[in-house]
Amino acid sequence: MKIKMICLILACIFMLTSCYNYKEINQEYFATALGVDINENNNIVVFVEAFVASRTEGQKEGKEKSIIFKKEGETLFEAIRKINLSSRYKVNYMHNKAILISERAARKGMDEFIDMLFRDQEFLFRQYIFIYDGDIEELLNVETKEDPFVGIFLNSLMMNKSATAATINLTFGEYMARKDMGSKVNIINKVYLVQGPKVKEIGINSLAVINDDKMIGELTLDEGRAYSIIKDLKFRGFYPIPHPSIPGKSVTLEILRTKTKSNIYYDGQTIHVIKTPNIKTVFSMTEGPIDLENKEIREYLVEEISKNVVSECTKLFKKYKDMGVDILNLKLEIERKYPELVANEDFLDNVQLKVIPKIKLNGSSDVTNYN
Amino acid sequence: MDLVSADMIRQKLKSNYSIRYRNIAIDEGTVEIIYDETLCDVKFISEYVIMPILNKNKTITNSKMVGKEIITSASVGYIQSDDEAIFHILSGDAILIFDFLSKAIYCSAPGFHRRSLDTPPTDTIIRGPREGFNEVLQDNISAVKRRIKDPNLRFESMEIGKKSKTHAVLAYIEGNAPEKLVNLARNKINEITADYIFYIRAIEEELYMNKTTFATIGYTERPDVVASRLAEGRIAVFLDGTPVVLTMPYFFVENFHVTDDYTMDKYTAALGIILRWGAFLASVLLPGLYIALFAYHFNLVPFIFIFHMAASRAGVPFPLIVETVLMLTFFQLLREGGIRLPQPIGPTLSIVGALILGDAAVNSGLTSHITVLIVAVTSIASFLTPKISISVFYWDLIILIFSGLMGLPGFYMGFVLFVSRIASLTSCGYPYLYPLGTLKTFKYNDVIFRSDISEISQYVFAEDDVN
Repeated sequence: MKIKMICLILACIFMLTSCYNYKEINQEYFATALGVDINENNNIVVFVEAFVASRTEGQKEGKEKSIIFKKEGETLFEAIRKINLSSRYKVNYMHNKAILISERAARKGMDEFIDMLFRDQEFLFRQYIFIYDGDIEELLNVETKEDPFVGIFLNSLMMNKSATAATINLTFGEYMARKDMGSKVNIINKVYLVQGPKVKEIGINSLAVINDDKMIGELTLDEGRAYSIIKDLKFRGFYPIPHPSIPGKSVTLEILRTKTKSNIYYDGQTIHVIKTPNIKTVFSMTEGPIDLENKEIREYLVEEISKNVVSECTKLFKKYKDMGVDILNLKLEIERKYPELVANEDFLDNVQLKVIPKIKLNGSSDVTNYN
Repeated sequence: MDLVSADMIRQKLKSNYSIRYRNIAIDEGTVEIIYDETLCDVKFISEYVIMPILNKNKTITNSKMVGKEIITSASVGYIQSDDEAIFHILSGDAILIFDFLSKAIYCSAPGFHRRSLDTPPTDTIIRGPREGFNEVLQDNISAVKRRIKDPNLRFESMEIGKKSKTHAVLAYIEGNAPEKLVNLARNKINEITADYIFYIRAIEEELYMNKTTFATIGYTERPDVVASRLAEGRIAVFLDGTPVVLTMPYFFVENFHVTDDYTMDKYTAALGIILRWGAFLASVLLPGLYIALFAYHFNLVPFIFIFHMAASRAGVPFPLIVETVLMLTFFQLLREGGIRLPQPIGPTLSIVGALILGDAAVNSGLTSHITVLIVAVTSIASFLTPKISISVFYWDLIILIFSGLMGLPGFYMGFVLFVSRIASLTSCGYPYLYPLGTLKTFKYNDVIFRSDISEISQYVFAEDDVN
C-alpha cells in the first residue's frame, strides 16, 4: 500500500505539475509592458519594460525599479528569446499589463507577430493592447509621477471608469477573439507622449482603426464616442451644445449610460440597420443662466443631443463606407440574420444606417453617481 | 492466629521514617496503631481513634465491635492480610492491630496537603464556573457529583499500576452512556500492565485506537465540562494525583468549541466558532498555499502583491520553502522555550523571540516580511485550537512539502490526504469526524453554529447515528 501511495505521488509530481516548475519569485523579472516595432531592415524590434527588485547591503528590503530590454530578431519569438541572453533572470510575462505596437508595425500588419503572443501561454489575455506612434523605447523610459512602470500606468488608465473620453478598453484576448469576426475591423487605443509642464505626460488621444490586422486609419475621440454608442460599449462621455438663449455660450450634458438596441431588415434592395441608442444624460454645466424648468429649453437640449448623435454616427459610418471599410462591423450583425447578403464584398453599398436616439435628461440634482 | 502481624509490617515498611507505631495498653491487651504521619491527620487519629479506645466503657470482644461502637471515625473497615494492611497505611489510613483479636481494622484519616479547586490556567473562561480540578481524586469526584445528582451516575473504582496501585475511577451515567463504550474503556484500563502509573497519559494511550497526533481522547481540568460530557452519554476517567480528567469519545468538532460557547449568547458563540474554524483552516492551509502560489503560480496572485513579494524577498539566500520551514521551526522553538522556561525568565524570551521573528530575521536577510507575516498568522491561528496545534504544525509541513513539489496540485493532494487522515480516525470506535459525514441528515446545530441550548441538550449517541 505504501509503495502504491509513493508511486501515485511521484506520478503526480511528474504529470500534474505540467510546465510549472518551482521558481523563486525574487529570481524573475516581471514584464509590465511589451513593445513591438519593425525597423528599416524589416526586423522585429521588441522592447520589454520589466520589474526588478534588488537589495543592497544595509537595506531592510529590496527596492523596486524598472529596466528596459531591447532586442531585435527576424521574428518576435526570436527577439523575445534573445532578451534572456542579456538578462540575469528569466523575464516572466504573466503579469504583463500592456502590449504596445508601433504605428509603423501596425500599418505593416500585426499578423506577422501577434500569433506568438496568442500562442505562448505566458502572455495572458487580460493585458491591454495599444498603438503608439513614436519611439517605444522613449515611451517606456518615461517615468510618470503616478507610476514608475508605464505598463502598470496604462493598465490603471484603462481601469479608470470615470474617464470622460470615449476610449476603447480592448484587451488582447478581446482583440484576438474579434479580429477575424465579420468585417475584421477593430478599434484600438492610441497612446500619446507629450512634454507636460514638468514631466512628460502619457495618455490616450485617439483611436486606431485596424482592419484585418493592419492599421488603416485613425479616429478622434469624438468619433470614438459615436463608435461606442453604435457598438453599445460602456463609456462615459459628454456633449457640449450651444446655449439655448445666450449666443456664443454653451452648456454641457454628460452621458451617464447608453444602451443601444439594434434592428436589421432587408426590403429587397437595401439592408436597413436601425440603431436605437437609449442615452441617459445629466445636465452638467452651463456658461450662462438657464431655466431648466422651461419645457421648451429641455426639449431643445434633448433635440440638440439627438442631432449630434445622429450626425456623428452617420458621418462616421459614411466616411468609412466611402473607403470601403465597414467601421462598425455591421457585417457581423447582418450575417446573423441574412448570411447570403454579406457574401459579396461590396455588400456595404446596400447598407443604410439609421440612428434614432432616445435621450433621457436628468437634472443636475438627480444624484445617481458619485464618480 | 493473627491475620495481620505488626512485626511483618515493620519488616516490610522498614526504613520509612514517616511510619508511626503507637502502642496503647488497655484492659483487654495492647492495641498497636500504625499510620503514615505524612499522609494522615495526626490530630484526627488522636481525637477520633485513640481517645475513644482509651475512654471506652465496654470490654472489646471482637473487631466489629471496635468499628461499630468505639471508634468515631466515619470510615472504618477490616483487614484480612499484611499486604492489605500495608496498602491502607500507604493510602493514608490508620490501622489498628489488637493482640487479643484476630482481625485488624483500618480507619480513614487523610491529612495531606491539597490544592484548592482553582481556575485551571489552561482552560480559562469569561463567563461560567471558575472551579477546576486538583490532584485529589475525592475532591475531583465530589466536584462532579455536586453537579449531577442523578442516581444513575456511576463511579467505578479501579486500581492500576501493579506497584504504584494508583486509584482510577471510571465515571458514566448508566442509561446515557452506551454499554459497549463503558465495557471498552473498562477493559482497556484493566489491560494496563505497567508497574507504576503517575500520569493519566498512560490510560489515554491505552484508549487511543490510532497512532495520531490528533487528540481522539478529550481531556479537561473543569468539573462542569466533565459533568456536561457525562450528561451527553460519554464517559470520564479520573486518576488520583492528576487534575486532568479524560473524556471519551472525543470528536474533531469539539476542538472548535469552548465552555463559553454555552455560557454566552448563541450569536457570540457562533462568531467564536466560525473564527476557530477559519483559524484552523488558515493554520493548516496558509503555508502550503503560500508556497504553491508564490513558487509556482505567480499569475494567480495580483501583480501588486507579486511585486511587493519580490521586493521583500530580494537578497534572501534561501528558497521560499526553506525560508518558510525555517521560520515555522523558529516559532516552534519559541513556543517550546516559552512553555519550559521558569516564569521570571519568560518575558526575556518574549523579547528575544519578538526580535528574532519580527525584525532581526528580516534585517539580516534571512527571511522576508511576508514570510514572517504568514508564519505569524499560521501560528497565532493554530492557538485558537490549542489541542490540535501540534498536529496542525505537522500537517503544515506535509502540505508545505507537497506544495513545494507540485504547486497547487500538490497543495490539493496534501489537503485531501489531510482530510482522509482525520476521516480515518476513530475515538473509542466512534468516527472522529462525527457528526460530519457520518449522519444521514446533517445535524449542524452544534457544529458551525450553536442553536438554542434547549435544542442541543440531548444525548449525542443515538445508536443509528454512528455507523
